[in-house]
Amino acid sequence: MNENKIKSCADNIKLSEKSKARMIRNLEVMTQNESDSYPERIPDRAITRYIMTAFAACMVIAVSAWGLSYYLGGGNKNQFSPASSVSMEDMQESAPELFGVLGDIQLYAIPPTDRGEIGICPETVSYITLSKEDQEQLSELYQMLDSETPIRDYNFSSNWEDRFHIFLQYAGIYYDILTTKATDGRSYIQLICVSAGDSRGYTLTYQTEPDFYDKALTLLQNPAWGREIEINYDLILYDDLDTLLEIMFSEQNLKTRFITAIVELDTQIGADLMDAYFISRENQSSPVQYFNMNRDNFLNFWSIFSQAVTNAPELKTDFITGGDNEFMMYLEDRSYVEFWHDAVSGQCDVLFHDMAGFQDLLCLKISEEDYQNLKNALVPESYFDTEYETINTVLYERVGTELMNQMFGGNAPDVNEMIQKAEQVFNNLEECEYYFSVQESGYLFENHHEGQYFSISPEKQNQLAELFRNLNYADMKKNYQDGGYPIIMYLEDANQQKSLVTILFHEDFDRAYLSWQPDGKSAGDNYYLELDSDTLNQIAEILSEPEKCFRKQNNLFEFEDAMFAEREIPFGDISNAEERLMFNAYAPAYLLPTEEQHQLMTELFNRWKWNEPLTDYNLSEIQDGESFSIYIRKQDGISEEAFEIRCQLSGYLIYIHDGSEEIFYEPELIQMLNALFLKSDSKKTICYIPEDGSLFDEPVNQIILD
Amino acid sequence: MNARDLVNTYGDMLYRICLVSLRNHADAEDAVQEVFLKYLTRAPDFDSSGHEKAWLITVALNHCRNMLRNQKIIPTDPELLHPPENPPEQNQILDALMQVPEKFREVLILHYLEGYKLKEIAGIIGKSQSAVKMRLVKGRKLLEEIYRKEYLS
Repeated sequence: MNENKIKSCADNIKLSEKSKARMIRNLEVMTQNESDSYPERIPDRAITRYIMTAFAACMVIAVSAWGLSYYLGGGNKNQFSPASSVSMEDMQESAPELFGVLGDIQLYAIPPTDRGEIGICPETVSYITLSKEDQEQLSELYQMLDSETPIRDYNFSSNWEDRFHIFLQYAGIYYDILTTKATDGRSYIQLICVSAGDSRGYTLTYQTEPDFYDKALTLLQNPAWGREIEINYDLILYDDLDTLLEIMFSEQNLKTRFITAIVELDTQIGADLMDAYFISRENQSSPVQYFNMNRDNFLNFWSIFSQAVTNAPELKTDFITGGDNEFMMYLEDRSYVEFWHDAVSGQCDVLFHDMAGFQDLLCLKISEEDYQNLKNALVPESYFDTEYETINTVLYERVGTELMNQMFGGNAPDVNEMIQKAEQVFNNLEECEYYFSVQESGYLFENHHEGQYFSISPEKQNQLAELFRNLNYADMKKNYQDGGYPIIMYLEDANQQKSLVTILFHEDFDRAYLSWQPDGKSAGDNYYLELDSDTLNQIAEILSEPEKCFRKQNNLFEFEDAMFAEREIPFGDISNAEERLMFNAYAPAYLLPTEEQHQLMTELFNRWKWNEPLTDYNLSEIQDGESFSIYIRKQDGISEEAFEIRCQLSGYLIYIHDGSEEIFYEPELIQMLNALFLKSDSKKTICYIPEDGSLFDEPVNQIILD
Repeated sequence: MNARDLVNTYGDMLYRICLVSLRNHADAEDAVQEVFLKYLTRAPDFDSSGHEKAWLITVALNHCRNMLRNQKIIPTDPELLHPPENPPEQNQILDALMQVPEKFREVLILHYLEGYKLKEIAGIIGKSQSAVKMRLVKGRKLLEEIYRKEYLS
């Protein structure tokens, strides 16, 4: 991604003149008068503004629908007349009456779970309608409020834990009743008047008994009331009410569309057994297997499948609990279906993907029994291996160019051919001309023109060639997909054949790959070879002494003729430039510890008697002077964490994890670490990587703090 | 500086920071107003305009952080946040930036949008340069991942 584009993406974000004028006016009033009479400011204006949009939409539906047989007549939205504004006094006066009629007028609610989701999935929010019985119960509950005596001066907006909304229209005015559980243990009710077409409103706040919130929430969610919460629609927060209505009244929701499609497909199934292909695997980390089924088995599978999904409840994709995606089904229309199973919770989901195949569209929850039946119904007739030609023949043309291109790349030749070619190139590296670049980002195929470029001396080049010559290319594999920090080598061999060689450090620095991209095209395949730490150290050693460093401005990726005649922009001594940060961070200035160093350091950390962390210090002073860092990756089989232990030679040890830090004064420890790793060279950075993730039995911070 | 000068001098800059943080026009405007109110009622003496600007940014970021933690901010439809003058690609980048997690987003905003150096960012957010560097690298990576996922796949 071009950094200039990041820089300028927000340049045009500006306050409108109207907003500025309002803000100036408000600030002048606020600073002149310390009372709370802020004329254009309400406690939670943003929410109200949002509510105005959403609520007005709800009310449009309500008004239209009530007038025309509730949802069925389509409604004439022009009948909708905006509510007029009310004064705070009017509102206070009408509040008791309002709470009294809650059982008689149509309400809409956003339960707290859905409210919480907004942050995750901002474009949608689900509303529920309430049964008449529930509304009556709610009305009773809210009438218990002392609605004539609202509280004042309560800083409500920053002290709540959870809340839900109830929307209604009464006497031509739109209201939001916001029921809140606050951090002070109390429940609060806010009655917010929302004037259509105007974001301003008034809010009355009432304090209630602590358990009010839970009572009201139970009422909303308790199925014992004989009602299931019904997700009516996903309301997209459009300002455009016409569009909103169209969406809300559309009967063609996703589920209908998919189920219809499945039923239709059901009637056609069997015409061609190759309509569907399956991919299965033992678990998320197992290799996938491709297979098809014979006619009878496939029909059996399809029968279970269509029955399982036809009446399955729909889930928001955010609710998918995870687990394993054990098998998938590809259909000829290029859609595909994933089957998920969470062994812990027992939840099973079926996830439908659209035609393009890259966006989740619908998730249905199926029973574990159905899931197991489906799994048991998978009876492979023949397996395909992952060799390109086989996949190409069987799947590529039939399932869809786009999807297969994504999965398997373009017209790549087979691995064996590539291995031979790689050996030829790497055996004759001396004849090649090449440059290197170091990228700060983990993406191989993008923006490497923004990286730091360097070349090495002829002597180093020969050393590298010798090293490459001795690698075992027979172990090469295809299509390394992971991210990492690459050093890229641009090669042009004696036959003017250009290619990319990448030494790709995994982003956790626990492994590295040599990746070869024979045609230099992003859509093409790449072939990679895992490097052992010894080889990596040797490469690091060779590359750590660049002969010349420069930036390239043109995009080498295109492999144009000008590739090796790029304009060079020297940036002098890289050790003094800010670029050094990136260069040092990801260039092979990192060292891997030997096994002995690994053990010694572990022992040192475990035995060290730590001082208390410093609480009063001047960080900028501490950070002065030379330092080295030890990077540690810790994994427990479930998650991974990265730590940095920054050792200032002045004696301070800064332990950094997740952006925060603790500082210790441990000069002796740093001396010992320095001696252990750096010997006479104190400028290099150590990349200390536990190969098996078991360096520390306890979290590092525990060790340090102990 | 009085309210008018404040709004005219720093309004756009703070609004940009708050909008990218909060993803909601109204919340961002409220946040900016709160920051200015704090300035007008309890700002310290400033050594320089740079110091003043950094103070305002620090207060704005803290305020946005508090809003994000204590309130459930309801993001506006991303399309409504797009400046109409922006070409589509820049709006896509802006969308992606807004989706980067808070602590990384702050650093990206300060570095890219406001042009601060690592050392200055460290001063503003109260972290070490090393931590800022880590956040910047990680933030940039996240931004790119989101962008690729949303717009390039």
